[in-house]
Amino acid sequence: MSKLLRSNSFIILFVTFILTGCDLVIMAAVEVTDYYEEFEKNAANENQDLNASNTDPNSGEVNSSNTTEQLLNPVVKPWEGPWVRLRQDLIHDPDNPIFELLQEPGEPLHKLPGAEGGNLIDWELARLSGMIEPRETLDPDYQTETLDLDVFLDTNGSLPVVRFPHSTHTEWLGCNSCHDELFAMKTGETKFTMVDILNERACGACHGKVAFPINDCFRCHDTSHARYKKLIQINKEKLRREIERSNAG
Amino acid sequence: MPDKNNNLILKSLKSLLVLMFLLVSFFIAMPNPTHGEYADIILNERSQKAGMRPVIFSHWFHRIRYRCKVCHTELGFKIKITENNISMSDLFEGRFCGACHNNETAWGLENCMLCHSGRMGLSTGIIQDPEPGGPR
Ligand code: HEC
Ligand code: HEC
Ligand code: HEC
Ligand code: HEC
Ligand code: HEC
Ligand code: HEC
Repeated sequence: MSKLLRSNSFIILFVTFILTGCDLVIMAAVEVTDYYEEFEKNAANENQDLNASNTDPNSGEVNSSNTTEQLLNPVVKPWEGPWVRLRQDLIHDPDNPIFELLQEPGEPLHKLPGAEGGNLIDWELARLSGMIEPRETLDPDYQTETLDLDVFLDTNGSLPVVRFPHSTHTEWLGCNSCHDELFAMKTGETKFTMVDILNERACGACHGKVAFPINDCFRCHDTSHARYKKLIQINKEKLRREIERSNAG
Repeated sequence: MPDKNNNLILKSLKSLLVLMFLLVSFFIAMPNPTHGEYADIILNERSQKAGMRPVIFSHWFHRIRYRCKVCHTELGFKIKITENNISMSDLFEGRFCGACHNNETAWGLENCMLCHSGRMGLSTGIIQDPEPGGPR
């Protein structure tokens, strides 16, 4: 009897799991269709807005005023891409009276070299290739520093070694953004792990928030152990010269 | 005797089922509250309390024009959200956003709604990838 009971409860438990599974699927389906409906509705609204300003059902007068309006505010060429539209991004308020003046993210971004994750842009490549020319200073007399020094981290792990390029980072950032709050100015002095990075500390203070996100593993873990052994010699030489230069100056 | 036992188990399983259903539906129906563009910053420490829409600052827009060091070194924006404690009077004195939004470098502070463009009720934060390593 107890055997039967046990098997009964087993069956009931099994059924519960199946039901929960069905529940999961149904809820997910409802969620997706809801989202899709809202998306369609917004898209329809957007089209209506466009049509309202472009076509003119009534008289030629309105039409001519429309064309001058169009000359003043040329309709921006449509773009394709996965970037969120401001109308659907759930943070901008479409009832804002000057909502239309804000730029859509995809409008400039679709022209820049792509990457995975984040803004879907390889910002460093965009800067190096001259597609964007972000200014270095606001006040022309302000002095900024750059440093061309690679630091190698995680040199004993199983994955490829992490190469931290000061060159890229000091083109974009000032030293004070990292030293000495996030990192000490000495290789190996700061102790952190990949878990810290995923928890928004160390490199994760920027990567995953503004700079390219963590899912691009091999952009950081990019140096094979064999190559690392060669590079470290060049690096030591560079650091020695850097220290001599700063001592002299 | 066994019948009673069976009933008890059935009953407890039923309540378990209901509980599970509620739990699961709670987690699934919970809407993803924000999905702006990556690295957009929402500032709402003071705005809504003073009756203004929250401020939305987009990194993608500004980093096409300026490097990080312009804001985070030269202008002294601390690289941690809320630590700057920005207020409107700072801006009118030419600090923070007011260093550029002064009708010389960029349009001036009288265009309130270009900055105060967020939906009411948003909380201060940064738009991140939903889950590291996962799909967007
Ligand atoms: C280093 C200078 C600088 C700083 C600091 C700055 N901005 Fe800007 N911002 C600009 C420039 C330049 C533009 C483009 C103006 C134009 O198109 O005429 C701009 C445009 C904008 C726009 C319009 C974006 C669009 O879609 O058209 C918003 C909103 C904005 N800034 C908000 C802010 C906020 C909020 C802050 C402070 C947290 C801030 N900015 C600080 C330079 C700056
Ligand atoms: C922003 C740069 C960066 C990105 C992106 C990154 N890592 Fe790392 N990772 C590091 C650094 C730096 C360390 C060294 C931490 C330490 O010293 O322990 C590390 C260490 C590790 C380690 C431990 C040591 C080892 O090699 O066995 C693992 C595992 C790891 N990362 C996996 C990953 C995976 C998987 C991804 C992609 C999802 C990833 N990392 C993306 C910077 C990065
Ligand atoms: C994006 C962050 C970042 C920026 C910006 C940055 N550094 Fe570093 N720096 C690091 C990290 C990470 C290390 C390695 C620390 C460790 O391993 O503990 C390092 C190490 C160093 C070292 C020690 C190198 C060695 O081999 O011992 C020096 C010197 C240094 N940085 C100078 C600078 C200078 C000068 C600037 C500004 C021009 C600068 N850094 C900007 C992150 C940065
Ligand atoms: C203060 C912010 C900041 C921190 C901290 C930071 N990075 Fe970066 N990193 C950037 C920015 C900005 C870029 C430019 C590319 C971008 O935005 O996607 C970049 C680019 C990179 C690149 C690509 C370089 C190239 O030439 O394409 C690597 C690799 C990298 N970071 C590794 C690291 C590692 C490893 C750490 C931790 C030791 C780290 N970063 C910490 C801001 C940061
Ligand atoms: C036009 C000015 C401007 C530029 C350029 C800029 N930022 Fe920011 N950044 C801000 C402001 C404003 C905040 C929010 C500060 C606050 O809330 O007090 C911020 C916040 C941050 C934060 C903190 C996010 C958090 O969750 O704490 C990071 C990280 C960051 N910026 C990285 C960068 C990097 C990397 C770059 C260069 C690619 C950059 N920023 C360029 C203005 C700028
Ligand atoms: C360049 C962007 C920008 C413009 C333009 C702007 N603000 Fe703000 N405003 C901010 C930021 C950033 C804050 C602080 C956000 C927060 O933490 O809530 C703020 C805060 C406020 C606050 C909250 C209380 C306080 O004193 O800080 C009020 C009220 C306000 N703004 C009104 C206005 C009005 C009215 C205008 C037009 C004359 C205006 N703002 C234009 C960026 C802007």
